[in-house]
Amino acid sequence: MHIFKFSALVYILLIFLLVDMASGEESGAFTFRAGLGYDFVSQEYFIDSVRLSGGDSLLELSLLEKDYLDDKKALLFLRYQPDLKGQYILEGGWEQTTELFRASGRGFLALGDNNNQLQAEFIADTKKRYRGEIEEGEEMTILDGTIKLKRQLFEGLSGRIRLSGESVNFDTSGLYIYNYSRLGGDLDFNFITGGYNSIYAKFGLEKRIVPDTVQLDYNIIRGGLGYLGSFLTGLASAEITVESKKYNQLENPDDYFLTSFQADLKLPMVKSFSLIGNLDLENYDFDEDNYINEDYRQAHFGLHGGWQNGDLSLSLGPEIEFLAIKSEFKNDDDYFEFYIHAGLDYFREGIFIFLDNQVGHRKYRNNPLFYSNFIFDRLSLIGSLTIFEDLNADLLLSGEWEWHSVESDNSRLYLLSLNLTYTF
Amino acid sequence: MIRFMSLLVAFLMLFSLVGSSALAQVDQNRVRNRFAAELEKTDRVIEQARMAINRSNTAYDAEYLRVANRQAEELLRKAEAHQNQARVLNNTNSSLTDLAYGGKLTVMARELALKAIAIKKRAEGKVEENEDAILRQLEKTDRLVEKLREKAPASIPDRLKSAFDTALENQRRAWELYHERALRASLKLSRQAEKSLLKLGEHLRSENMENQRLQNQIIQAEQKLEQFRLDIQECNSDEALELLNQADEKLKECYRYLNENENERIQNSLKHAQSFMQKAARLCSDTESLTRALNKLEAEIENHAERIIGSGNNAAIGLLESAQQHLKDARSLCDGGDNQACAARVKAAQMNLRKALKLAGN
Repeated sequence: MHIFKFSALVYILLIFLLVDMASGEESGAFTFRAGLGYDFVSQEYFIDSVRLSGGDSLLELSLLEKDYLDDKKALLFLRYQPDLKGQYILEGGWEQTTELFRASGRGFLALGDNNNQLQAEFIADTKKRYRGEIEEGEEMTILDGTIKLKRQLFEGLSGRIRLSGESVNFDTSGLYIYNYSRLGGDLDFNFITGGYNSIYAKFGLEKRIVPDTVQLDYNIIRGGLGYLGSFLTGLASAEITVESKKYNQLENPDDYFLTSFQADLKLPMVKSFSLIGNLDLENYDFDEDNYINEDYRQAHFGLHGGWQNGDLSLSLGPEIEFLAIKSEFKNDDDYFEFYIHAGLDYFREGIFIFLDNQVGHRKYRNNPLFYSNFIFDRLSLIGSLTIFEDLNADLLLSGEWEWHSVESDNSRLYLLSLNLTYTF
Repeated sequence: MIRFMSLLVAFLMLFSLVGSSALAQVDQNRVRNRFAAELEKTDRVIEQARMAINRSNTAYDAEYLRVANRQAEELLRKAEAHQNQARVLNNTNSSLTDLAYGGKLTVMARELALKAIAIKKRAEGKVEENEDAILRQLEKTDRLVEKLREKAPASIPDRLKSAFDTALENQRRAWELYHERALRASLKLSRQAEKSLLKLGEHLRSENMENQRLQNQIIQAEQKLEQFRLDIQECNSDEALELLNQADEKLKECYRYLNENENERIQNSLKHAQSFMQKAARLCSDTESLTRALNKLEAEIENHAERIIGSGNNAAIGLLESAQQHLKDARSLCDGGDNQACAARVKAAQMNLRKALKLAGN
């Protein structure tokens, strides 16, 4: 009963697509995507906790393992895209695991050319459990819509306005699981200078509305200024952003003002070698002076040597990160992290592999009460392989290992997503 | 004198007695104020600790979080007890010793409350993350998706499409995990999706830059073609005209391939277009064509010379003379067999004549 109730939209869409397809016009514009997949997200961590029972306390150390996702799934999607430019797309599909199913539909429309364009997108998604016990927040329906208008205002200057809305509704809501809607708007200006460099400015507003409790409503205002283009003999991008978030509640400890700066640089050196640099700075200023959210500054800097030969590129170099918390608590969690980053990208028709590995050390500077220094390895692998014509395998793998000076702080995190899809 | 001295000593003794008592009073007030401030500060920390403990717990790992909460509660209760003891000492009858003891108590209470907050934060940190941080990450990845989709879905080439879909799929799952309050997993998954999208973006960007570079080449070739069209008017060669039409066709092909991101085909068509233009240029720079162009230009100069001189415009007259000089040089260069230099002089003479005519009011 639930299936029909909540998937009505998708059925309508599928029926529309099939009827349209049956009319025989542009049958080449229809594609089916069928596939199998496996998703796994798991975390292992040790817990040392003092179990309190009466006047006695007992130190207890145990390894906990939490599998957030462990789903084998099958999927079938139908897509209608009448021309190659993708100006008009309707897509509907079904995805099922051994316990859950998800039905989704998507519509996309774009009118105009690259200079003056109107884009609209609508997504409907519903997820239900058909076997086993329903957990809070698990069953939900999401409706999402965006409309964008891009216009060439003058020679070299374009503007874009974007309005969006999202509604998330849970079948069973709880203390911390609540329905909400988000409404937002952005205004961007992009100025193309000679040499095709781009300077842009953006401004955005967002409002979250939680019908059950107005105290969880919030407003976000954000603005930014950026550059993307040539720098010295290479390419660079830089962006400064400010953001303010305010809850609909007096003196909410989560209200903040964020200033961030992000820059990337790639300078070709000799032959196939290049120098790659990146810098990220963040400053969080929470409105209320409290001990739950403390103001902090975070900085990250990396400098790599890059080498490219045809389809293969390699990079290697050091990166550092530090966190400085403005705290009255002398044992605060300030840290300094250093690691070596190694990357391999292989990209050619039918196959690509992006492999990243970071090995390093994090040192907490003020001997915090509950954190200990650790050595880590963070591995990430993203790959795609065309096995045969339209049969594709995609892989996303991530692992994080932390070996702490206090063994009970060790933790591991694994993430795997594997998909085999056939498009016809 | 003795009497005076006695009086002075008595006065000084009295003054020192009254002064030390006043100073002691000042000192006690200062300690009292400081104590009140410290008490207030601790109250604030205790209030924050209470808020932290009462804040969200999730359905996940509730047992662990419950234990942590109990620990934090225990510490907070002790902190509140110390603080209450200290508060009792905050009255006008308290001695300096009492105030010092009260100060110690309230600082201890504050330390305990801070520990309670730290326990709670740490407990959440093991299985959770700050909800705002997750939301920001999710929104950041969403904006990246937007950026990649900016030019309509067709801008994502087929070979990247499935990877793009997988990244989108993971971002969608990250949102689901966020909704299910599995915040840490949500953060990791969204970061991984972001990483995939950034990599895809890098490739798209380099492809777009290549696309832009090719577009520039096409525009340059078009400008060159226009120039050739003007040039062959002087050359009067049907064969050259036909070659330029073929070049034009090839450039139109380039635009078609540009929309389809077929960079290799664009390069081929560009090569063909350029080759047709070069052939046309060669045809129009052979001796016969140049002689024909020279004669035609000479006749033109003769026709217009009188009118230009008659206009009285010195700049126009100067340009006319310059055109005549270029013509003369061209003829001797052609006679000497240097066709390339000859063609350049013919071109210069033509340009000077046109400008002169414009200045003379024609």
